[in-house]
Amino acid sequence: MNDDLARSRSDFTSEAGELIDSLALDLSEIERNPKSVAPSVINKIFREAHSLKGLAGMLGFEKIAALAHLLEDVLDGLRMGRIALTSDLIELLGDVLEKFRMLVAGVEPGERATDTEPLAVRIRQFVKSAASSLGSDLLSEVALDDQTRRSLTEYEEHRLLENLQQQRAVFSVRVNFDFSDFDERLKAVTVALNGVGEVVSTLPGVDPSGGSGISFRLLFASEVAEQEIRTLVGDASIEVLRAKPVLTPAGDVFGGAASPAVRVDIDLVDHLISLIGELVIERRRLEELSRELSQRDRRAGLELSRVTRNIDRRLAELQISMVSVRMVPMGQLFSRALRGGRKLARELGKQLEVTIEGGQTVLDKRMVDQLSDPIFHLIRNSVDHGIESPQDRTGKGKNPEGLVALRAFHSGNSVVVEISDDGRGIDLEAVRDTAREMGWIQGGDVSRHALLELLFRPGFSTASRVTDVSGRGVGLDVVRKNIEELRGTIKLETTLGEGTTFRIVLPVTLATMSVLIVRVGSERFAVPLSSIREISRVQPGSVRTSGNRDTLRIREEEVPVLHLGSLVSASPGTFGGKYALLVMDGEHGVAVVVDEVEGQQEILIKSVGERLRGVRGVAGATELSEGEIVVVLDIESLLSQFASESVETA
Amino acid sequence: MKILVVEDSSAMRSYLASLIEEKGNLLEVIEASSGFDALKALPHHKFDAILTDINMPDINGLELVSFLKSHPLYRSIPVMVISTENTEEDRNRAVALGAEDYLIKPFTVEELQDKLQRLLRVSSDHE
Repeated sequence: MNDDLARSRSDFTSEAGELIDSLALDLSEIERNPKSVAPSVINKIFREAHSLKGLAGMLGFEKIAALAHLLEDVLDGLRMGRIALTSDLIELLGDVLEKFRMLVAGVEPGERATDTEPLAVRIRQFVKSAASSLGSDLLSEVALDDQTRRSLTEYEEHRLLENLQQQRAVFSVRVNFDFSDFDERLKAVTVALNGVGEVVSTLPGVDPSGGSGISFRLLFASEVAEQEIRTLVGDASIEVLRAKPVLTPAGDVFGGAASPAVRVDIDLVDHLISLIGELVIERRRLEELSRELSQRDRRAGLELSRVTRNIDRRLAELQISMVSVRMVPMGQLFSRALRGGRKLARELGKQLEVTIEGGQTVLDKRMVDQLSDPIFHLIRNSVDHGIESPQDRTGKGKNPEGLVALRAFHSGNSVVVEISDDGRGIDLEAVRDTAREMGWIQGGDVSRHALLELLFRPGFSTASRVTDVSGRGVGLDVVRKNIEELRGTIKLETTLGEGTTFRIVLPVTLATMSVLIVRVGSERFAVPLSSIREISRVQPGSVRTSGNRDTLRIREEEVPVLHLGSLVSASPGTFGGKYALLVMDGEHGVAVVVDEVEGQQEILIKSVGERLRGVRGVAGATELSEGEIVVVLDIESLLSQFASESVETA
Repeated sequence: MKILVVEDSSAMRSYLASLIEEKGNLLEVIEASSGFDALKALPHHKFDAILTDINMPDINGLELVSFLKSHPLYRSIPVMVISTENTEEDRNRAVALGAEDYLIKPFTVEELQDKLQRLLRVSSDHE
């Protein structure tokens, strides 16, 4: 080995590290929005893999080179459109990067025996499944001269084809620049053009005037008209190489491969939603006006109220469409979380099998963002405390590979996310002992449900003994707080020795909600319909009191009563509620008693401002048609407060 | 003698430079990290040979070859493109555009030095 090679080898670790970091950054860009990945990002990843392969190959790091070679194959398929970008592929790419990191961290000439074969098998499967390359007949439609055609790389040719298939026009844009600043000026032109299409190739040429400048011929594909391009690039000669085909009606020959997606800032979407909310309130004023008008001019009044109803319907549609704009699939979050889980498992010497189900389930974008912390936390808990070491598992007759499963699905107006493991489960006896030591419970029977609730109590996790014995319970109070901020609930089920399942139930969106307007004394409240099982009238004298607890018989079952009046302390002592809302707390029903039920309404929820933020039991506020502001109650958090108070008084 | 090395990967570029600038061989490498850099470097040096990668953003290696081989001042500078075994078509296009030679990654030190020597002989034949 000569000196240069030795030096380069020592440089390899840092150079390769940089390449891998850059790859990871680009991959996260893809993960963020796999539906609209810029071709340039894919090509960049391809080039990075290519460079890594080249370097590793020449410096004798054979394992890295071989893996990078396979990666290059799959990325080549991806950039050429032969392989589709699926969540499986994204996960595979993440795993390959992880492997690179390990290999680079451990590289010494000769390399340690780190097994790359399982990954190699997975990559080969992707390459094998690749469809054959697209036909290139379309290219003949473009009036390309030989020189230009020959200077296109295969990749650029593929990009050109893609654009042709998406029915875009192809232009030749020729610009001349002074040599002193051509790079900045060309960059400016390229950026402007890429905003409305794709610059497929940039061919430099000799200054046509014979001077000392330089000319560039850009091959540009776009939907926009020639005039618009002219306004973007100023002094340029533009030639149409292939006109935009007249669109055949639906089902055209190319099957409409164009992606109709645009990227929009979520803040803008929120702004639009709040504008719609304001329109809804203005519309109610219109309704009043039409009533006033009809007293003076009946026909005009009726016409105005008809128009108002039409506006109403359109507004409702608009509201629904805007809300659906905020929806994104949960799959990206899941695969990121599971990658973290795998990494942790490796560090802890545990074996892990992970499954994802329902990654296509959509949820409000803001919620998906805010869910990542609690989900990461629960997965870490599962891997760290739930899953046993491979030896322990084998000893118990379990598969040495621990299982962590993530599942999401829609259920009515809610989205359910489940995180399960088949680890050691939680020892409820230990939980009971600890709760006694902490003075949270005194003797007597404590229900299984109440014990599980204790795990979410702040301060519980500090009881280190429980963490060790029960194998769980670290920071669950914080997880619950995060979930409640999203107006969701979290429950857990566990079987000692068999595993634990956390079940998170979330509203599909934070923007709107169906509520029941109820009255207690003179105050009105909104109760989310999703929390209510059924509504029944309270017959006089049917509430029984035993000790300090009231119960009510609903459908052959004696359920505890929660007087909303006493909780919100409107007027304590007057428990003459006429209606009972049956809400579920785990498997148990609780009857929430109110004075009046005024009706159902679709509301736009507003945050309640600093003063009430974080107050348990308050989910937000909304404005009713008369302009009155009412508080939206968070029944689940009221109940868990109620449950823990009952534990103390039990 | 001056050699222009055009390659967007900094690690690969410095590795190439270190192989070319061996002690005592009087070769000087000018590094360019993109097609733009290469175009900018051209008027400031008198190059005896150019080595360029093919797959680069903005101006790719083929476009660079096309430019060089159609430019009255640079036409005679011998060019070697660097490619990989799975991009045969790109390599063929480079030759069709007038590139004198190609080098396939991964290559050995000897291979690079042999091909470079041959390329520089082409260069001196022109003079």
